[in-house]
Amino acid sequence: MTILQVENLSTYYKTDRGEAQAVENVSFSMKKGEMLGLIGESGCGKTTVAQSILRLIEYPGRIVSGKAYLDGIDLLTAKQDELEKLRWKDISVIPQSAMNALNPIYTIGDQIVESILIHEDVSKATAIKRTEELLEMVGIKKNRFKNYPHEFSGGMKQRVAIAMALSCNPKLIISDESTTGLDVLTQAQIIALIKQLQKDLGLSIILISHDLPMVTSVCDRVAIMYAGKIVELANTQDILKHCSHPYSNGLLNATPDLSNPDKEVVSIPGSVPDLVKPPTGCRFYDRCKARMNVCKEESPDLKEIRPDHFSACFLEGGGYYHVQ
Amino acid sequence: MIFYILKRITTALLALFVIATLTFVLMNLIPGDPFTNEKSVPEQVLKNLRAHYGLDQPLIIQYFKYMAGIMTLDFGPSITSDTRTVNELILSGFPVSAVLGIQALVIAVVFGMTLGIIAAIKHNGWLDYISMVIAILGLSVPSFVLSTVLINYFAIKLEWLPVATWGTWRHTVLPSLALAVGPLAYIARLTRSSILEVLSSDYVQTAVAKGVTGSRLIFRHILRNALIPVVTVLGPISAGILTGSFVIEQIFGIPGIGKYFVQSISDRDYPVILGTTIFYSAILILFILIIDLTYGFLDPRIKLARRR
Repeated sequence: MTILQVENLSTYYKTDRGEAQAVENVSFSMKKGEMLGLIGESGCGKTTVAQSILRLIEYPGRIVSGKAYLDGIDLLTAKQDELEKLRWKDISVIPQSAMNALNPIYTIGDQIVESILIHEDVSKATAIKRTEELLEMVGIKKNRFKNYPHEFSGGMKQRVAIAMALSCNPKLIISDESTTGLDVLTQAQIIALIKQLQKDLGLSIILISHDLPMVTSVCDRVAIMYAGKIVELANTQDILKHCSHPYSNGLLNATPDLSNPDKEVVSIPGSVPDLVKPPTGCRFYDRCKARMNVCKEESPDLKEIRPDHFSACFLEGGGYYHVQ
Repeated sequence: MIFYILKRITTALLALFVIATLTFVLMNLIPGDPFTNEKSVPEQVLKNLRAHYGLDQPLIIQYFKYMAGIMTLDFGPSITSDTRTVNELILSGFPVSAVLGIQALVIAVVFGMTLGIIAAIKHNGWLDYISMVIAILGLSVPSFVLSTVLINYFAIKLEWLPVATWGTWRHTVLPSLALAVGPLAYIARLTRSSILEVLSSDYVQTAVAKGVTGSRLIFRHILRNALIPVVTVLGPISAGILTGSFVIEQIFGIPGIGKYFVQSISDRDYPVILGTTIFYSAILILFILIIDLTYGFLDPRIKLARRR
């Protein structure tokens, strides 16, 4: 069953030089109980996609077009009061940098209880009880209910943020770079916790990250973004074994492999195009090793090259120069 | 907590001692003495006057005598108004200045914060621009100009309120307003920028994502965080306002203590200079202590009593 269906989403940011096309024509869908990785380098539009779905884009940004159906309701055209009811109840966030995402002057318990009481018609005692259960579930002793955010370490705050995201049993959770800023060990613990919860509770999660090995180790499917567009979308095994898009190839080649220490790590030369005046053709044209004449003229659409494997490249069949 | 307050009071007394000493030294470094201006007075009379106030003794003796006096809260006689003591000047003038000051402070805080909140919430809207124009006018128009405009309009043209002097509550309205406008503008600007900063913070975005809206968002998630810088400036502002303003008390003919701060220095009225300085410092230190105690309630990250 499809839980989220995003169609032709475009979000632009106003700048002094014109509008930057931060997200352009992004479409994807995800099934209930699925973990979808959204990956790409900084500034490629991952977080903008997430904020657009939640409709948290504020001036100077604006959602230009598109639809985002969550369980049949279009979040992008929902009325404001309808949206406020949906937020957190149906779609919640494990925020980027949980360090600052918790209000410093209220106890963590209070903040989780607040999110329950806003959306559900339950007594405060019930909300407190559920909050304690949630805290235990993410590995925090319930006697820390009355502690303030500054009394927790970064990893613990991230666990609190996860408990808060789970508080209303949402249909969809967006984890936006949730492990950025934590040390690698804590990162691994947090990701393992998210994966465990996803399995146990059957959660649908969009995992936004720039960490390719981490995403491929936990996600069912992966969407790779470049300069505001999704360039490849497939299940994890297909991405790893039959990677098609030259940019995805570049990413894979730029990642060291522990099991194969002889692998040469190659970076992708060049830099991301100017999103205020994006190229008319493929946005990866300037950096692409496999570019053709057509790539300069036309922008490739995301098309299904194999069952359930989408790629936005004019190269037929993909796999053109996979890990040579 | 009580231990903390006691510790703070001890440091405050130490600070006051240093302030008194510094003021004593600086004051005696100013050329001339209280009787320099009285040219027609014969030499012998001047000598007697100096002897009467103890000014003929070595400075160090004067200093110890003075310090001994303030230990018993005796600030000595006022030299210019030879029948009154400094204690009497402060006790009669301060209540007047304080009444005026409290009213002005209430006006400044209530309206300043309201303007700031409105401006921040309607950021870049016309309400924001109007609020900030009022704030900039309030900061840039000198209080003597404002006082004269207020008197001319409300007292002379409209005859709603008395022109000057001290008496009924009606007498306090115009000077309170004139005194309030500067701090009001300052508080408005500070509140606005502080709220704007909190608005862009991650935890406010989390709150919005959680579906928190309206007054709950503003008061619970934004305002309490934004208040800390505003509370910080309230200490010095309160101390300044409560001890009166030379300009406003002169214009409205109000018998407060504001004028002594300025006049005592040009008169070289040594006991009054020291008395008013110590008094002002004591009030300032008291308010800063109150503000520090308030932090503890506003922000759980600030713990006052550090246990060892």
